[in-house]
Amino acid sequence: MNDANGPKKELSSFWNYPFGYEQNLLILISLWFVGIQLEYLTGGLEKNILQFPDNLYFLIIWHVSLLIINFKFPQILKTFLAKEFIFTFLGGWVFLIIISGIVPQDHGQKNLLNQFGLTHIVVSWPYLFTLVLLASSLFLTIIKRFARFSLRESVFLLNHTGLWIILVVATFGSGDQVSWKMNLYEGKATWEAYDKNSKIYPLPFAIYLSDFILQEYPPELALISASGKLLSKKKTSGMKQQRISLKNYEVFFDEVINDGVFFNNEWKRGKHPGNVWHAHIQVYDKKNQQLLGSGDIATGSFLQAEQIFLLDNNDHKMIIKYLSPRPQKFTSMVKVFTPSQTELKTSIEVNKPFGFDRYQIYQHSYDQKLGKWSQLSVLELVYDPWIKIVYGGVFFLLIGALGLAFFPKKWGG
Amino acid sequence: MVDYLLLTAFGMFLFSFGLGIFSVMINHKLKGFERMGDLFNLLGMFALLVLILHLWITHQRPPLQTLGETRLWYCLLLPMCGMVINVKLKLSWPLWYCQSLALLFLTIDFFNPAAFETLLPPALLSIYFIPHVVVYIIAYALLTVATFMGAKNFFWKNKMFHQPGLNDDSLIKSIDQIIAMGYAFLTMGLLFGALWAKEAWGHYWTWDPKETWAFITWMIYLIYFHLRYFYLKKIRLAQFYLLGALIMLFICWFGVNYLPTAGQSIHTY
Repeated sequence: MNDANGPKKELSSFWNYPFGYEQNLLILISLWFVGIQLEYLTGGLEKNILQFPDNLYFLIIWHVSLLIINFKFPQILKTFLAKEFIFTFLGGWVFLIIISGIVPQDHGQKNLLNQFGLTHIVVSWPYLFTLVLLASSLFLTIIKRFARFSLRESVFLLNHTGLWIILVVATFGSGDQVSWKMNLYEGKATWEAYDKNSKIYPLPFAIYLSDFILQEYPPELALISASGKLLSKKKTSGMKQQRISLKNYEVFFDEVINDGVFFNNEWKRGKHPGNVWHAHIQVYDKKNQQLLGSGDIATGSFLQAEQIFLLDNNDHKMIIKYLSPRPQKFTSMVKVFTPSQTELKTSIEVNKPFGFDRYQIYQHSYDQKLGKWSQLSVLELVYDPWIKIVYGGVFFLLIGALGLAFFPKKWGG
Repeated sequence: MVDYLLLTAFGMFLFSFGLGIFSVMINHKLKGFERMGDLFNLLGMFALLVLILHLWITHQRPPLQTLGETRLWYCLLLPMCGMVINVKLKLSWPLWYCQSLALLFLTIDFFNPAAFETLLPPALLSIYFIPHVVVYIIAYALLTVATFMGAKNFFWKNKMFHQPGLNDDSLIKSIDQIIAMGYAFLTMGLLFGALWAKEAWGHYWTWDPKETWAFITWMIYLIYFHLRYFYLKKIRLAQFYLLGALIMLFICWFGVNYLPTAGQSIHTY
């Protein structure tokens, strides 16, 4: 009898308010344990993510419960506001995010890490539980401080409210984000978009691709060892008469063209798809300016093989070559049509999206094999109904951070 | 073609900062060298400024885009912070730390000239680029300085470089103030980054490894504020915590390139 009563008594005293670090840590670890099991059973949150209006109902029920706690259950409220709770759950949250910063995040993997949620931390049950409890504490803190509002408290309120808005809305609004792709071909109009599972959606407008333009940087020049190791690479200007030093060698360009074609054993210019960068180079020993050789180099394309320069300098066999040119800018020249006969001409490029209907339309990619001759331009259509609220939170946080820096605060509670 | 101007600026910088450190150190034993330390410091900063302007002109863009270039600005701002602290708080030893760290980073840059040779992908050609990077570098410089102030007090209290007239309380107040300023810039960097991501990729947050680590760093300093709020008297804990926080910051800045997640990042430069 005594044995049975002993531990029970200990247990009840262990769970006495206020909770210390041990109790909070136990709660956190239990929640993670339950979360990992749920992860194993349900295969992750991604499939069960809440969408409008369910997410709105959830947010309302959640925060009404918090208000009830705030007014009716002072002991629970105290637990949520205690420093032990805040540090345990903040620490736990950061710990989870650190895992997601170390373990590659890829939900597609089929292994043990994936089954326990480690490959998709930010859409896993343990993360959700931690976030919900932390956001609850944040909300209750805001209410408490709001009740005794003064100008001095405004920095505190801006920071905490901003963070609360961003966390809650960005997390629970993510189910409503639409992110579709659209394949456009030059000279054709497209009426539909597809999601990441290739499900097709008709659009209330069509986009016609008049032209896809890709500008490239002049290709970089590389020095490569016989074993294939990149020893040095340098930018080129794309002009002739340029001198570039690569380690112990100096390369002089006596001829450069950006639209070359190798035909009848000579390099010619021409505006044809598949034409490449070509240069005739002279290679010197940097120390004594002795000419070591000269020859052609060229980038490759779907039409022509690349051409490399073999350098044979007293048993030092090396390769000098152009690397594939890298894109500098790519732009889709488009016309947008609607059923009501409106027609809009515009261009869409990276960093310059175009807003139409409820969507923001982004330049996403193109046919990388064809490069600048790509006939295909892939656009991305994004719609996020919660974005304005999140931006509100961002604004609060920005002002709050400035306040923190420029209005010195008296530390301590 | 050897870039003589580049080499000269590098050399001058290293030399000046080396002498600057020396002078500041000597000054603790032998008064009167303070001016000399400042002079060398200014010379080094001037050399670095020449270097940055030179890169700006030859690359025809602000040199703010590669890891090597961010290190240059960091090395310019760090001694500047040290000098401001020297003037404002009458503390000369933070300058010593700032110069040493600047010297270390400059040396890394010197042996990695490839860090300056990068072509930018289209997504990085944005008006957000410069403010995003500048506020981050300022934040890094401020947070580093504050950490050093704490670390010095934590490890070498009253032994080396002791300066009378400064007690723990007033020191931690200065540290907190600098951390708060650094944190404000950190927040701006994070949020500008999010706004830019929305403009370039359609989403303000995609948990890219660099984003994840930037967020971790931000949270780590957020915890620092709570530590100072709830445990005001635990000054040594706060100073020790800042050291750990700085390690996180360095992981975010360049350590992230060596983590298993790096392959997924769009922030590879």
